[in-house]
Amino acid sequence: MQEKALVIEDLCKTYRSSKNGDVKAVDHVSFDIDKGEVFALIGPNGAGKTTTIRMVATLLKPTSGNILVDGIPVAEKAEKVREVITYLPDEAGAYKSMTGIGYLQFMASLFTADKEKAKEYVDAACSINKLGDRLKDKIGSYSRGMIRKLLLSRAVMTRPALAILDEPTSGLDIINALDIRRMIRSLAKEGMSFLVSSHNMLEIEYVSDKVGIINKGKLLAVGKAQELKQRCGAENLEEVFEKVVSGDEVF
Amino acid sequence: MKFFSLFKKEVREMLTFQTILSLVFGVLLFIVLGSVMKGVQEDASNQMLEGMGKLAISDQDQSALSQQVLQQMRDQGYQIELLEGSDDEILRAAQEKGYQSALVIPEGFEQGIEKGGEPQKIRLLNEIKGGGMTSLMSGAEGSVEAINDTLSAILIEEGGYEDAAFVRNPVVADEFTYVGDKSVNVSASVLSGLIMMQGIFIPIIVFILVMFASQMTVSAIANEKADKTLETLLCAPVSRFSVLGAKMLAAALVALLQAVVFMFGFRFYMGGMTAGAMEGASGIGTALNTLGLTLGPADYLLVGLQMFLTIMIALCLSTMLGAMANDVKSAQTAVMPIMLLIMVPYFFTLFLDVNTLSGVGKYLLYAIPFTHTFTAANNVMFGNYTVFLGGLAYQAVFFAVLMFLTVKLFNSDKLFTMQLNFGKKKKVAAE
Repeated sequence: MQEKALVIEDLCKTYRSSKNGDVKAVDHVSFDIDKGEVFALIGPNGAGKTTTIRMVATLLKPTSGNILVDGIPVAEKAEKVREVITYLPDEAGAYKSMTGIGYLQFMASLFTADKEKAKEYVDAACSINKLGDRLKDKIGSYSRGMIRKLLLSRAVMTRPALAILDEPTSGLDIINALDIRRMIRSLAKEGMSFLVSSHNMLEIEYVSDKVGIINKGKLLAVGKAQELKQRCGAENLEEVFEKVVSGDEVF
Repeated sequence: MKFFSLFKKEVREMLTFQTILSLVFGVLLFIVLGSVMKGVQEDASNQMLEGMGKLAISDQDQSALSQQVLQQMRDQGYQIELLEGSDDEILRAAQEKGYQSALVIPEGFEQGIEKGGEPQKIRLLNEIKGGGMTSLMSGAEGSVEAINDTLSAILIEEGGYEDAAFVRNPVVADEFTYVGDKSVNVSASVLSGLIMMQGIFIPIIVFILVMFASQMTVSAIANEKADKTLETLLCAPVSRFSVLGAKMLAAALVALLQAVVFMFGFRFYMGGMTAGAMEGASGIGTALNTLGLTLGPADYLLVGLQMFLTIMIALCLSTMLGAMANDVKSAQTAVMPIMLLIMVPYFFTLFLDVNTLSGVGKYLLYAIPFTHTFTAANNVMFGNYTVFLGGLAYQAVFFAVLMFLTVKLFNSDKLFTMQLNFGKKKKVAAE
């Protein structure tokens, strides 16, 4: 049996609101990610992508259901899970007063107390982000693309069992976005697993092994991009997305 | 027209609900302060007016002249309470009968007057009970003037004195100021001025420190939330308590450093002030020391400890507000409740001695944890250790509760889902 980097079973998240009553942000969602697989979670705004991702990242507690990361249950052992995951939030920034290298060293020190190991992490990040001498500059002077590269290298430098990337290329120019997609693919080839959220269907087709389409908290379709296109008789993933979300296609 | 559209948009952006709320509160604060101060001033004026016609006097000379002076004063309408005993006993007895001060006509008074030349001293006994502006008000000097005028009139009527200056001012006050059971031969009004200066300085330090620490923390946390660096941190293999603890401890350390620097500065300031007073040959520095109205190293430590607790309370409050704020801009306006909690006791303690207030007002003010910090120095100086330690314990409990709530907030989903808009809670729509 293929080893699983992530298993999500019957996951629910309900927000209590005095104004709108109970709001089901995530409604009985189940899927899994194999080791070395890139899973893309796509859906319209407010579909439940970020809530699902935040639950996997141990930031939010599920109302019900199970999440296992690398076989470790999130509900019982959140701190242990944090040792094997990394999370890159959508439009995340970094500490502007730190230098790029200082930021990587700071983040590495949170993952290991071993200085040698920490240095290994930082070196790995430096070779991934290719920022060179600019790493000695303050992050405040970085462009958006440089910050994203720095953060992505930080997210993968510890070789996590699962890297969670929310909109990894949002706001980036074509060249920077391409660099990052290639980076994800090459790391996946090396065995790293990814849970990615994106609005960019082209990116999803290029980068992901499997796609999950979520809308109004429900996971409506899961499969390889090619399979989904065939099942819907669609030419591209955008058409699949449109048909699934509008309710024309039910899997 | 285009300008008007732009102008309208700018006004609409600036005149937010928060701005209007702070304006309304500011006006309300000044109205309340005004009415309280009016009441206090009226009470003080009434007390002084009442005191003007009433004198507590000990006639230790028992001479014909002293009797004549007292009789003439009675004829003028003065109500005179005659007392006996040592100065200490006289002042206590006078206070029991509702007088704020007492006068002592010493033995040999008549002989001194007959001799002429130097004005004769009448001992004026006063007590300072607290540090508020109103506690330091006294109309005692007026009673010496009344005796002086009466005696002057007698001497003019008798005639035979060549020294006009002496005849006009045959009496001078020899002022003794009491604090508890200690006394010094210094004017109460001069001492009051110094106590006022001390009393004003510490609240200003506290005000600046708390404001600075709160703004710093709120902005730091709101920034971390806006940049999503907080999410990154909380996904790292460290406990949320460590993240919160490190933040609070760092801010507390900076605040503690500030407190130490300010306290050092304050000691220097007070040292310079009392030394200056001593150089002025009035011996006020020694007088303050004798009365115990200066802060010793242990007192500075106690006041510093209370300042530290105050800052920690402010940090807890600002951490919670910062964590719930929508963005950095709203985080800065979210500090308003803390500002109000500081401003109210700041203004009140500036003018009033909270300990002398009665009933609900006193307890309401003491329910605000920052009040205890503003009253700390005066409570320590005047030996009100019960009130001081009570305040310290209250702040410690308040801090413990706030810390518990902050930890709870950091461990809950609310850190990412709840947003604060001045009492209007809103859940973030899930994505």
